[in-house]
Amino acid sequence: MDKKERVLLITGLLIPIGMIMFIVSVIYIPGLMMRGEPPKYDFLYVSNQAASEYQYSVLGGKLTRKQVERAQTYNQSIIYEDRFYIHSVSSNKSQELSYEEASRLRISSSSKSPDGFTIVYGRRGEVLFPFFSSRDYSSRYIKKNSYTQKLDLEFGMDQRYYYNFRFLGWLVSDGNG
Amino acid sequence: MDKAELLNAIQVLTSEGRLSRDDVLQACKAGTQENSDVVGARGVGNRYSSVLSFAGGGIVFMGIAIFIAQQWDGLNAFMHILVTLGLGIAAYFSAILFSQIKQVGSLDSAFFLIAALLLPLGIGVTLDELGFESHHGSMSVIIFLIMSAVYALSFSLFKRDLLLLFAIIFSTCLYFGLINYVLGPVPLFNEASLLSYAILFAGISYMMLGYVVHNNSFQAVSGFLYGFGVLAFLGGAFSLGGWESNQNMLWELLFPGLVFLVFYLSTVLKSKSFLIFAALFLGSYIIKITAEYFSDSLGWPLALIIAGLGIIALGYFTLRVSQRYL
Repeated sequence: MDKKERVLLITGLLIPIGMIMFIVSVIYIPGLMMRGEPPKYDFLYVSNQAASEYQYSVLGGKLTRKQVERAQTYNQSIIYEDRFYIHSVSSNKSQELSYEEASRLRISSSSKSPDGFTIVYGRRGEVLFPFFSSRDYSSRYIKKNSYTQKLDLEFGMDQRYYYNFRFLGWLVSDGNG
Repeated sequence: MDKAELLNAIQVLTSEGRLSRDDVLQACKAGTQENSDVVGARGVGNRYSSVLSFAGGGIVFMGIAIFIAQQWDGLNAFMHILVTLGLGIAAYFSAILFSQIKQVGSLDSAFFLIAALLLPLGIGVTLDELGFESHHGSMSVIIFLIMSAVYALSFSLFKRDLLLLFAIIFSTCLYFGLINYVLGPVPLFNEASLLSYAILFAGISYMMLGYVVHNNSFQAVSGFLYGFGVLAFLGGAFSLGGWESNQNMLWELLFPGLVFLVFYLSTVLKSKSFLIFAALFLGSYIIKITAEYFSDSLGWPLALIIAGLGIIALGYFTLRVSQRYL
């Protein structure tokens, strides 16, 4: 094997290793990546929407609801109540409130907060990546560029199902963050 | 008459005008044709044997897998490991024994294939029966790490094309498995972009290894590496350009340069797969750019005409390069 082939062989083997080391260093070396400012806006969400008799929407910056036919559920004798929470991004804790209290709040239903954050699913990749890797519906993260933080949410009766967390909007009233 | 004397005689006769260049070239051509007819006949036989061995190996594996699936619930943990890992190890050692016997042809290839398919399954079953809990693909990492090591070591001992091929395939699976594992549960990166970069770098690595392997007598594997390498490289770069309303301008501008680099490399490496994929991707790029930027201003019909003419020109260019350099 001549010198050129040796260089190509070593480079060819080092490229994938370099890619993995780069990802490892970005994730695990603190301060390597600029994390950016933390989120400032709390948000409102509803849990236990599996068989809700209401459909929720934000109109004119306020939460409203419309009665709908209850979806067929596995056990019709169990009544699933919708539960509302305000999640504080500074303390990473959720506080429950009633629908009436939630409907008095001023909220923005945009998926992106006024400071540019979005709520995304966690990763779940048990089989062969890049095939079959998928979303982890039991976890949510607040994310903007390289800033990512896991949210400690109240998922209701079964956190495996995506509809047990439904984002309603960002609180844009005074005193956020 | 040895080679030096023959060449000297040709030189003398040519200088005296008693032998022309065409005469020499014709004689060479006739000689090569004769040899290739003989070697070709032998080669065709070997190829059929290899194809049938592989097909047979694949069918054997399917049969084993279906049988195991049917009997699975009735077997205990030890038997689970025996029928998967045990059979895989048996197939592997059978392949090694057959590789030492020239008369059996490519029988060893069939058993190496069966082992390559059964061993990962066997290792997974063993880990599962031992109570190993996989987190974020850690089981995949362990399986492919073991398989890469086994086949890399086998290649270093037996120097077989097939062993090198499997070592590369398992190492590629390990590469993607490791990326998945280190990413963990946190959605830090845009996964689509990260995947495109991972594929692009894998493609570059494949092309480099393909060159090394080609120059060291493993042409069958170099064909695989060149083909998949250029596909991954151009595919990754193409997808990094993004789609309408979310394009990445840098990659969209860079892509034609990369394609022409691949065209150039096809002439240097004499690789048809480089030429074909470069042509296909350039055609796709023409269609994509026309649809993204010109369909609104020129209108769809005119945009399609321009794209079509571009592709016709591309086809002619590809043919000329193929005829002249490959």
